[in-house]
Amino acid sequence: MMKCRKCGEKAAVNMRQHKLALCKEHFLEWMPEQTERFIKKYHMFTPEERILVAVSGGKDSLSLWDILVRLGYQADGLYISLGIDEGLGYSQQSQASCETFAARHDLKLHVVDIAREYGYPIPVLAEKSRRGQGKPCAVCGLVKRHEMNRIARDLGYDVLATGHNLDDEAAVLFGNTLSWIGDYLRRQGPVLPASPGLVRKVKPLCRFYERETAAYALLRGIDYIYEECPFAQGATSLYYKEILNRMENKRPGLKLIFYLNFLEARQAGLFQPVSGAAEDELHLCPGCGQPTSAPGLCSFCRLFGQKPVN
Amino acid sequence: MSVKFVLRDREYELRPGMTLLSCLQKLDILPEAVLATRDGELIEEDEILQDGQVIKLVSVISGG
Repeated sequence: MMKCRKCGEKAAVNMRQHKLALCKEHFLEWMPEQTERFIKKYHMFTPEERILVAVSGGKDSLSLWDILVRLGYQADGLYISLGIDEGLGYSQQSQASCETFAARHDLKLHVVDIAREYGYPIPVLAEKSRRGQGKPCAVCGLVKRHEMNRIARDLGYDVLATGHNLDDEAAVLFGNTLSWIGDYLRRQGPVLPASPGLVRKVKPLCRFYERETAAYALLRGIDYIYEECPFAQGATSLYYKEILNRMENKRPGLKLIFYLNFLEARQAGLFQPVSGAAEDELHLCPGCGQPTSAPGLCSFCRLFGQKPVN
Repeated sequence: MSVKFVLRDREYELRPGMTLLSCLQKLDILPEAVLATRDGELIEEDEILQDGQVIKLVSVISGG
């Protein structure tokens, strides 16, 4: 029988990459302790700052919110209703999970309904745009990033926290490394500092495996939505996660090393542009005031200005 | 004589007496991609499964 390293009782979670097995009680202590360590290590935020946690109703974001509140941080939630139904009531269910969690812990949850705010739910918006032909994921990502930043700024939060875990980060890193996209590699990390028009973004769970955030949610009794977004089926990120997990199965710790060594290499300047090359120059969108890579309206403002594709 | 595994809307049956890890390997399910619960309690890979037990597998992979 696998035993908890701390108390010798039956282990509930075994983390082969750390050679560490813990019982329920000690795992539920370990996760917040480690999160606190990462928050400090990467200078994410302080107890005096106001944090907006982007919650989807899934295991990662609700676990993050739970942990931050337990650690004593001032963390409110933001739920963005995307209007995804597909016969499953997906958005309704995920909103209900967030509202239940907020009510149970007496926390403040801001809800933004995209259809009410902008006239159309995400699937319809995707149909109307050139970006969304076939799959709405590109439009969904664009709208979520814009709205998370807008709400955080409008409501005066110091920092926006998302529930990205190590598997999410490793999958993105894997994709960007396969195509050697220097700009993206340079920007990926636990903290994206604030810049004009952009609130600071942090990922306090970025060093936990997805299996650990799921175990935390289950053991803590968080009522999260198990169902995957119906549009996620066949997503490249899922394919990359499976490949990484196949390698992890043979070489425990491989995902962790892949991500941590990348962070070290980035810190050492490996992905900096060569001297003389143009730096990433950002412009402020005249429509919304958020940064954009090219002068003129940003992608979000153009999305709502452009005509339907025939 | 069997152990039943439930993963989403699929069900599998295997003979008892094997560890959870051996069962997952037989089912070609990556241990990294699931959590296994029995009667609501998490169980780990070295657990030997007994006749009549029902193991619910929770997928931990999300994305899009």
